[in-house]
Amino acid sequence: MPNKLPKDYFKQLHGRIMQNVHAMPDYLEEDAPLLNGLKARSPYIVPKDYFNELENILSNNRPKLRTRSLTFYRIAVAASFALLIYFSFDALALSSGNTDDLALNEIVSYYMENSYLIEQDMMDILEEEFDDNPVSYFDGIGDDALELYLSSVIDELGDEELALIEELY
Amino acid sequence: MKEYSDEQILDDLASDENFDRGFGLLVHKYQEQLYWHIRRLVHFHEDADDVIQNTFIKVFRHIKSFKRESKLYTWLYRIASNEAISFLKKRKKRRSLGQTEMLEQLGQDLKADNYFDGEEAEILLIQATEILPSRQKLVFRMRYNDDMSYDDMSEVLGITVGAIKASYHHAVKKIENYLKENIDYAE
Repeated sequence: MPNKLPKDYFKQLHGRIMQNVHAMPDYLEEDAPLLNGLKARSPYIVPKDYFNELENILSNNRPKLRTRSLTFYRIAVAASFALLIYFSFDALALSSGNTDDLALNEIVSYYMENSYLIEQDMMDILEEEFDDNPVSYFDGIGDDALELYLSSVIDELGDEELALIEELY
Repeated sequence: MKEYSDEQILDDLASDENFDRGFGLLVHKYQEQLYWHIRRLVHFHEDADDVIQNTFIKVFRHIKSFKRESKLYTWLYRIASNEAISFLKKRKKRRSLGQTEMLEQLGQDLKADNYFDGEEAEILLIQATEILPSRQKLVFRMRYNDDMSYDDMSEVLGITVGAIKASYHHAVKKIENYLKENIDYAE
């Protein structure tokens, strides 16, 4: 037998082909030949030793962890309710054409800029002009994500804002 | 440095005694992957450097609340993506340019950037991604550059696999059309 194959070549062939198929970007070759041709190299450069330096910077400048009390969770929930209320008002203002409420828009902008977890979901809602069932947009968010979001809202608030929310709720 | 599994890193992070070591291992394992994801969204090294540092500060603050319901790397991508998108929105607000001017300015800035070594076609691709809405841009970059699975993208973005596939398809079409309209074949 002049030609030899690696052991189990044909047994593994199907799996290897399928692995490559899954790894391939969809549509590109057929629908987007120009885009497909651009994938080979990255035009971005990083400074020499950047990642070693980044590791050192992050090791030496860690923020202090905050101790969380029951108050933290109360404020987190209150802040989230406040966000939802402001957001609902803004959606109503948009739908009624009354968009000149600058203070309200500023508040919404503040939360949009300072939250980082469900911002995308909120953008979806704005893009879809707040359909009849906004709650469905949040179905995909698990407990981890929710707690992270609540924490982020608190982290971005200053002491005065925290005191004000504590007073209100 | 030996690469540790996510489980080992999370176990370290769960204990006060080993927290610092765990955080160091997490940074070491994921910094490059997250940096490149961010860089493809914000394009400039100085901006990516700011965003990656903010990302890890957020991770540091919230890692104790990570309950292992999702994959660690999709959780990290979610934070990095949102940090990058927030950054881009602030930058857009500061510049307040129309789309055509913004794309021209971006092209000029990239050409002048010491940390960019791309040709005209690569600048066009970057400009094309800038015409996409934020979510489409994220979907496109995670699939096109990172080869991320649709299931993992679904975890990162909190939307269905079907919606992500549709979003990617639209993004590819828009970018291909932009390239067709703008590539100078004489070059």
